[in-house]
Amino acid sequence: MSYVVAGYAVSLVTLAVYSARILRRERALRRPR
Amino acid sequence: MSRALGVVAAGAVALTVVLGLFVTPPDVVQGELVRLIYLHPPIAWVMYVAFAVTALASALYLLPNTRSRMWDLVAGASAEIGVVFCALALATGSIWGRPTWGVWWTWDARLTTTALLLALFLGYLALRRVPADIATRSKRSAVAALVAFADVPLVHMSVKWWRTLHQEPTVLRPDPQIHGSQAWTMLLGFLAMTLLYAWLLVHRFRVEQLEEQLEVEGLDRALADRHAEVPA
Repeated sequence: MSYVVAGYAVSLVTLAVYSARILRRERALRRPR
Repeated sequence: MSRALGVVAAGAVALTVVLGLFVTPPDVVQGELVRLIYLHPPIAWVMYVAFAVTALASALYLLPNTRSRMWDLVAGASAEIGVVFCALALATGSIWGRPTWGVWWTWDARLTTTALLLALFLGYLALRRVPADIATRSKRSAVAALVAFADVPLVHMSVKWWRTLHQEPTVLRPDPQIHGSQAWTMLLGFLAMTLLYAWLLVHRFRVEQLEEQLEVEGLDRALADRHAEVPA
């Protein structure tokens, strides 16, 4: 079961971090300069 | 609109995780490890979809009748998402391989062609960053994307064309090898990851658009400054 948990953790954390990065970048680019 | 898509995608992913980890039964042969089937194939599916969208958008950019800035930006956005999903497909496959095959990695045809795919599209993303005028950069990136995409059919067919450790397809065959709650949860996994891809593509495309706008504005400003320096 530890391999299963590791697989889910790696995938979900990576996707969450990547999504947050894209949103943060989009927000930063929209900010008036 | 994109917020609604994001909420639905997150909900579908969460439901897949709950069903995959706590509701579906263990497998007769694989035991608890079968739970990775709700994650690994859907991730690999999105990898295919993302690279197919990149190839299609690149072809549309190269054809004079359909050439538009939009296609180049879609290609770049989708390729980056594809690279993330490709790396995850390799990582989850490796985590599954260790207890099943006894090794984290082996030079099996499916694994090797997938690793090659990751390298090819990392090269594509690097090529997009090589300084050049926008039209030249877009055209050479589009050609590179089509060349890189040629590996996708090889990845998919590798388990049929060569003797591999990796199993043959479970669902995409005349007699699917999965049934009941396991089948439904797996299909939900495919839907969830596809929705997540769509949401990521919308936002990554906007980032591409905004970055290009910034690049063009910066160039215009630099040219204006240069002109101002030249005495009348």
